[in-house]
Formats: sequence, C-alpha cells, structure tokens
Amino acid sequence: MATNEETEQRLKSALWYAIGQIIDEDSLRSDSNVTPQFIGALTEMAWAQIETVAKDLECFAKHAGRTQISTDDVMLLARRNEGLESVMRTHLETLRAEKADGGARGGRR
Amino acid sequence: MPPVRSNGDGPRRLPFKPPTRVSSGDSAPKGQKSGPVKKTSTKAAPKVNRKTSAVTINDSDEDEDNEDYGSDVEDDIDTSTTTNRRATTQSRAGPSTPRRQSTTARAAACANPGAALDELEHSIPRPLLAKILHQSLDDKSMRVGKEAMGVLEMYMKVFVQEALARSRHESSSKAEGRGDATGTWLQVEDLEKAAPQLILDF
Repeated sequence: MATNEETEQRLKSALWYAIGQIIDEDSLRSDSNVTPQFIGALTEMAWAQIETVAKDLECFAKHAGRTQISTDDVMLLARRNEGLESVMRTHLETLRAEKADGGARGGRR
Repeated sequence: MPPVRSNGDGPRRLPFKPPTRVSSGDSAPKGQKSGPVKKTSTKAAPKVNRKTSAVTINDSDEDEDNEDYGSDVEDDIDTSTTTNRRATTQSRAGPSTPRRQSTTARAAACANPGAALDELEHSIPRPLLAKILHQSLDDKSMRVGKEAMGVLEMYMKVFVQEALARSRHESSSKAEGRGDATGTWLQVEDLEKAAPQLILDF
C-alpha cells in the first residue's frame, strides 16, 4: 500500500509538471502570471477529473459489454457539452486521417 | 517615402470614403478593370501606360486627375491607395506588436475553438494520462483503445485550458470591479470561483 501511495505521489508530481508547462505556454501568450498555488490547485482538479473520467469510462464500456474502452465511450463523456463534443469529434477525425496516412498500424495498445 | 505620401493623401480622402472602402476588397479588380477603359475614352493615353506599369506609385498624378474626371476614377484611386495602406499596416502590425496579434488570434479562437486548441503545443503526455487512468480503474483487466486515448488526451487538454481561461476571466472581472490593474496574477480563488461551472460542463 505504501508503494501505491508512492507511485501516486510520483504521478501527481508528473501531472504537476505537465500542467505547469501548459500554463507556462498559455501565460506567455496572454499577459498574465500564475501563482504556484494555482498550478497546484489545477493539478488536483485535473487529477480528480481523470479519476472521475476513468470510472465513467469503465462503466460505459462495461455497460456496452466490452472489456476495452473505445472511442465511443470517450465521446459519451462530452454528451452534455455540444461544443466540447464537436472539438473532440474534429480531433478524432484528424487522428483517423493521420492514421490513414501514417500506414497500417493496429488501433490497439 | 512613397508610402508616407500615400498616407498623407489618405486621411484627406477618408471622411467621404468609408462605405466604398469596406467593399473595396471585393470590388478592387472591377475598379482596376474599368480604369483603363475609361482612360481610353478620355484623353490621357500616356497616363494609362504609367498606371499599368506601376500600380502602386500613382499618387500625385491621379490626385490632379481626380477633380477633372468623374467619380469612377476616384474609385480606382481609392482601391489602389487602400490596398497600399492595408499592406503597410499589415507589415507594420506584424513584427512590432506580436501581443496584439496574439490577442486577435485568441479572439478568433473564441469563435472557433478547434483552431485555438491546435495552437497550444503542450498537453498532458499520453503515457502519464494512461498511467493515471489505469490506476483509477477498478477492473485492472480493462484496456483502453489507442484512439480513445488520443481523444481523452484532447479532452484533458481542453479541460485544463478551459480552467485557465475561466480563471483568467474571473481574475480580470475582479480587477475591473476593484478598478486596478493588479489582476494579472492568477490566484487559487479565481480557480475556486470558476471550478463549479467548469465541473458541470465537463
């Protein structure tokens, strides 16, 4: 259990770093600064969101009788937000176009 | 120097031209086409040659012609000078004010969210996202499709960006309420205010 907590801490700090980079890039474009506390808070929020999303996705996949989380499950996450859904759909289309261009690699991890 | 002179001419013509200037972008080729035809009908044959050879440097001559000929010639001049002016303003705005450019890009991004999101390079790395996701899954045998992972990456990217944008909005509105400009530091309380609606939207 201790190791589990340790990995969680490491993952959280990795997430902190990733979000910090996104914020840095965004702050350079707009003319504002961000407090470190803000980055920490946003990291916690993103962490909680990923956890929620993971449970949702699992439920969606199980409800469909699958053992693999598919694109449809992820699209279901945005079912109440039309704008978000359109953004994700366009991204999915670009991903599929890239895949079609990039050669015949399987769609499974 | 020619552009400076054209700028000097510009403001004088400005007050009675705005409506035609707006449509000048579309009617520019039409005006240029009608220009030479008119000139052949009138007397100035040498000026036609000069005009076709150098479209951009025809300020002073045409100013004189302006009063003699009709309004059509005026339109012709107007299109040429406005295109000149537009080119100069574009070249000027490019290198000197990158921040303004970025804000306009941002404004355009608000209208078209897809374009904005493609701009940001950074996102949560996919391996990291996958690890966090798998750690939160109850059923460890559950797998995640590669394509699904890509879309999920986009989802989290939008989430973080949206959190930032909303917090920034909160911060700026708060700064306006106080009437000072110290709202450039994003605080946790800005995120706290933006969080409930954000979570409801995601």
